[in-house]
Amino acid sequence: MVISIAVHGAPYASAGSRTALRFAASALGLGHRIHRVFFHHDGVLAAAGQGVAPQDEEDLHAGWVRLGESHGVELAICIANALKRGMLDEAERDRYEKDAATAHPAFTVVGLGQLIEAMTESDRFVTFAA
Amino acid sequence: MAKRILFLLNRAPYGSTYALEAIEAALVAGVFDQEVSVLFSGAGLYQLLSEQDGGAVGGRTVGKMLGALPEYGVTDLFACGPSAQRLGLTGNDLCLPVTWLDYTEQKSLINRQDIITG
Repeated sequence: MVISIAVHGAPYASAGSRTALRFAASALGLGHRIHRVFFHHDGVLAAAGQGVAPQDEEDLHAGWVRLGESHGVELAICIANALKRGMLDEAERDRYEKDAATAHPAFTVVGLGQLIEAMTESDRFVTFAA
Repeated sequence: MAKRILFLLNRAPYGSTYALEAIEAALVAGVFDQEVSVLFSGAGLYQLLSEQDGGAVGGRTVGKMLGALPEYGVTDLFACGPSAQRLGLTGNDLCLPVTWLDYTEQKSLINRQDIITG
């Protein structure tokens, strides 16, 4: 089955990001394909490459990056929601002449059209609310 | 093929940016010719109040954005009747016409969808 996922909550502030990550890993383990993980609202903060997880807590950012890199899962952050929260990739950093790119390169910055495309192109679309 | 997508809007309009960002997503779903419905419930009903001005708190006016939904082909607007009763609101307080649903009707609306999101 082809599954896409929306993540609405910020890592740590909401349990949604952790639950979504576990759901994605379980789905892959069962042989399903993840078409796209769409990070919406505060969910975009999962891309923050400069966060440091406490030693006794799960590193959610690293977990998402691992999922993206080792399973080829597309990690998409909503451009409008990302920009206002300071999540910029290299291209947006250049465009807005900011000091640093803050989003890890495993994440791609996309428009809301990709959220709807994920809905139409997947057998299941699962939202993890904040 | 178009999917039936329901946006459940249950957050107050100015308590966070979630309402605004969810409406943006619903508008884009309309642009992409999906069968979009919106259900307002709980504090989400405040998004529909006709007397509101987001400029006063440094943002956009949520009610005005909702006003764009019909232009984007999103005309199936529903609202939770029991929520309105609890909040003391009626259709006269709202900036858009909605279809009022009780809990049983909301359940059947939800059951008709391919996708439910917020």
